[in-house]
Amino acid sequence: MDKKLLFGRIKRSKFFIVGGIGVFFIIILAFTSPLFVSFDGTTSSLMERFTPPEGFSKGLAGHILGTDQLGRDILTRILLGARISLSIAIICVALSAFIGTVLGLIAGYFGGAVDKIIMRTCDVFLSIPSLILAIAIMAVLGTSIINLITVMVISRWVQYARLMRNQVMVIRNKEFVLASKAFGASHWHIMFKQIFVNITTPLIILLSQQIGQMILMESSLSFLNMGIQPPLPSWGSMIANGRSYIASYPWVVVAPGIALMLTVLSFNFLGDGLRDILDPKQK
Amino acid sequence: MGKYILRRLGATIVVLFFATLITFILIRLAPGNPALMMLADSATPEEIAAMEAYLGLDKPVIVQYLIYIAGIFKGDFGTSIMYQRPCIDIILSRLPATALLTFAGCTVGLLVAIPLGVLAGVKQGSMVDLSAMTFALLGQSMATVWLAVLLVLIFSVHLGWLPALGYGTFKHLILPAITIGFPLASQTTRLARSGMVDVLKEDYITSTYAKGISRRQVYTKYAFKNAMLPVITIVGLQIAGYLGGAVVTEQVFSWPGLGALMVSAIGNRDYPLVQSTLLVVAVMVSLVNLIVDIINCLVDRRMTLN
Amino acid sequence: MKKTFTFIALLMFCMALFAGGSNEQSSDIPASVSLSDKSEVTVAVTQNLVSLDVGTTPSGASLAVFDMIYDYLVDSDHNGNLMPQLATSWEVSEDNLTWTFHLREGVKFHNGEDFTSDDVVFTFERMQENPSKYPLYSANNFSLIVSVDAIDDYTVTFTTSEPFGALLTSLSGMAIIPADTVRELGDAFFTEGYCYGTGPWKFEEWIDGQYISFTRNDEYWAGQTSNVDRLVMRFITESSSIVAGLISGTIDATGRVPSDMLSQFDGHPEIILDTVDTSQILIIGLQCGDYSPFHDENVRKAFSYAIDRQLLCDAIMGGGKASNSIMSEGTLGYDANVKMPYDPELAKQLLSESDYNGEPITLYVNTAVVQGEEIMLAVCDMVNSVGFNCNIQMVEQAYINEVRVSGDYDAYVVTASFTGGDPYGYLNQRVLSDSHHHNYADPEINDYITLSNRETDQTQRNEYLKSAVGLMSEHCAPQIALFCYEYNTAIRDGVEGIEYSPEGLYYFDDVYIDK
Repeated sequence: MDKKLLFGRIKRSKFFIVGGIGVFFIIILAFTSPLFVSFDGTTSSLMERFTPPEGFSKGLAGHILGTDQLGRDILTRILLGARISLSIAIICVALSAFIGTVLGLIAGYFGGAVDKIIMRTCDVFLSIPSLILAIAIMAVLGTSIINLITVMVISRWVQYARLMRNQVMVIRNKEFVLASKAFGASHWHIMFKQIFVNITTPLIILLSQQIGQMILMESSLSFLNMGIQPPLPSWGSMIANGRSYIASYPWVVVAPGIALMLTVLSFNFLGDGLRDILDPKQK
Repeated sequence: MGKYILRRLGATIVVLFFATLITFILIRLAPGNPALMMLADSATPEEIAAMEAYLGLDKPVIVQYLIYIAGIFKGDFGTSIMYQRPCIDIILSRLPATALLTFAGCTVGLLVAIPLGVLAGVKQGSMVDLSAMTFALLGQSMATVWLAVLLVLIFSVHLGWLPALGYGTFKHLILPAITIGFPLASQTTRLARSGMVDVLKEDYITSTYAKGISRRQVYTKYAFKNAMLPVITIVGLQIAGYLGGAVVTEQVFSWPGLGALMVSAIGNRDYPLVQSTLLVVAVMVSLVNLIVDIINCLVDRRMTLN
Repeated sequence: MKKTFTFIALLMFCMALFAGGSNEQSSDIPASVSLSDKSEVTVAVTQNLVSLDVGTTPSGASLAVFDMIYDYLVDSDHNGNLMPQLATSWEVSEDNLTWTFHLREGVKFHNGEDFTSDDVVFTFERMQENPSKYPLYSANNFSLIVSVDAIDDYTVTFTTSEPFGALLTSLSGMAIIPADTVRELGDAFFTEGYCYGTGPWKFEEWIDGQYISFTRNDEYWAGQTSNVDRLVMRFITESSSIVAGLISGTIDATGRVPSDMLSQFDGHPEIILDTVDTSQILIIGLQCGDYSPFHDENVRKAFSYAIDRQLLCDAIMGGGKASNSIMSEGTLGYDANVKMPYDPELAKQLLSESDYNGEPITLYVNTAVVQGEEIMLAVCDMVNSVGFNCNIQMVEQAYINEVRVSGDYDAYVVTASFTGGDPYGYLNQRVLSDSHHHNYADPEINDYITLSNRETDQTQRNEYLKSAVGLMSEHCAPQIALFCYEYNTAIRDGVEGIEYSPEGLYYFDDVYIDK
């Protein structure tokens, strides 16, 4: 794509700018957090349980966002948890999108028996509710982070495969594709250079939605004691464990909930912005 | 069309077969002996062995599977280890709750989302569009458990308008339905909006303008139908997801659905109940997927015919 | 396109009909906010009822339910004392092997059938014939009973294979069912919801996973003084949902409100809060085999002395009593003089003297333990500060069962309680028989336990138990206790007669409304 055109579009897309800044800021914050946190987010301090947020009244040395049910500083845990939750979500999305897209492209392009096999496999996974599948697999494998990623990828790749396959089916009989075939272009060329680039829009939207969904899925798994194991913090487990206290000590849940919302919002903005920029049909 | 359905049904049966096989193997791989769950701590090895024989767990796994499958064909879905009752009884007693919740949640979600999303797509860039997107993004950023507890806090504890939990009347349905419907509405709004936006830019839309057909007719007759294609796929997937996976919602609201049943059955290593509940859920999910595929097919046909 | 939409609409309509239709059958639970014109009470329990069969695995929910509908030969007052119920008196033979019970006359089941010795014999033999199907049989050590015989309509004898000091306690858990009716109906007696007992309440209906309801039995043989027409027991796992239910009026009573949630009741004077001391303890079972770091007594002591039990009670639980042994006040074998110090300095010293070298130790914590994660994370921090390298893993009951059979664990954390305040079953199974494979066998401790088994004089028995338990605390094996739970109960003003027993169980059969 023409660089000038691209740059022009970037400037015009408010979504992309806001989202991009948000994501950039969050990622930097998450990965540099060990440098400036003043508390240990994992050791308990029983006498300080449920300290209400002190704001900046004690400067940076106080519990700015308060403490949780074990006296651990919440702001520290949010920052540490950002790293964990984000890393897992990004890895899961990348892996499941990759697997799902490749399989979906193949299924949609070749059709016939290949399509049938891949789609039936999708159906098998779809017929088992993703949370249930995750729980069952965790029950077998145990609760390490690698298993968590495995389980989340296994239950999510299908969305990409089905979407991509349906999109491919719509496009593959279009003239420019048929023309390429007539010219003897290879399967891979057609699949990736012609078809794929034209169906990236729904994929990008799905991707940007999925990062937030992954964090939320991890929170559901934490709710059922299958997610990130204590004492490691993750936004999901902070919300899940703090849910009982939402009426008495709301800051335990509100802070990670807001952090989560802002993060997901940023990624969604970014995704929408990307769509606006990359859309080949834009005049 | 009829042949297509038949072929898909055949494929569905294959899918169900593999789904049950995977479940069968998976649940048995999980550490924990259901016989032990039934007995007190003090059980002697002889008592454990007797319980295993009673539950049919002393036979080789292949034999257990064949017995189970043979039972399915006779309509016998096994006896739950925990409840000591036929699995099908337990499942059927929970099925209405799940169906009701799924239906209500989807109705709430779609009724809000589709008009909102379409309108936002048509009036791209306007205040309507902005509000719709904000609404959508909010809904997708909330953890289910957070949303559920928040709703209870506001509407039940502080305002006292609705019951906090339970199942039985229309009032009991409202909060759980919103918990399910809000995220669904958010996702659908976005998809409907982007679908409309994409379609409205298509060449064939421009050509219909050229033919002199009114804007409204363009939107409803041509654009809407085609914009809905990805929406239908995703919504179908979501519905299928709620049929057995609305675990968190069911737990917070004490909603006696299939999701909660399956989680507790897995925790109790209640093999027959896990397998049978999963089979029933898988059947329902496959049905929904079949409907989605048929719709896709029909819409696709119309498009190619056009 | 229109056709497909119509099709979908029809389908959804059908689903709604289907769902809505079944909706009409479930009863509407009215909100019970003001008691002035009420005669119905709704209580919430966190455990789910699994089966109506009286032979099912005993659980808090099943005990409460059967207590409503059925009676027993002897009744526990839930404080360690046993009183006559369906049996008016009893004797033991010289050789301590034959117990003779004299039964109450004029008692009828809810369907009119007369209560006779035949019902007692039938209730027992039903389990004896098929012990795998009725886990109560092994749970209450009924295998020690050789036979039950009806001497006449109102006299019955139990013959045991060896002196069974805790027979009465075991029988207090065997609900008597009507022999003729059950012979006729078979399992359908329970699965179809007949459930006739001799108890103060009649079974009304059970919606699995939701609630069970009872109606008052005005013909109860002991007289019925309650003014409550109907009791509903709801099964709810979420504490926050229960609290919300109490405040909004759907629920009238519950036990076990986490201390951290009590502040939600401020401004609601119609909910009366109270505390109940229980004998339910939080225990850590230690693996004492050679392959485990805990085989060394110094390591075990270091671990135990590093834990500030009082702080756990004060800070996290908001109550409860720090434990000095695995027994609690009110249980046989409890001795207030046993020492279990909090001494981190001593712990450090003991640890350095041992052969522990910082190997990672994993504590398996049962997810069913209330606030288990919180408590054990704090415990880990405490022991790690003296040199341990501990971490926790939250696991389900099935996993705990599994590792306790294989012995493949460093430590596990569960709650335990003693039915009837009698640790008979507990000590025999977990210490003497080592059913959880702690691989610890101290001849002195085992001797005391065996002596206590045979002793029918309760005072002497208590002495033996004290000795055994004292030694267990001294050696910190095979289990150590952290604290006894104190429950917070929340009951609507005016609802009386609900009992939250020290065993950590709940009983509603004496409920009434005081207007």
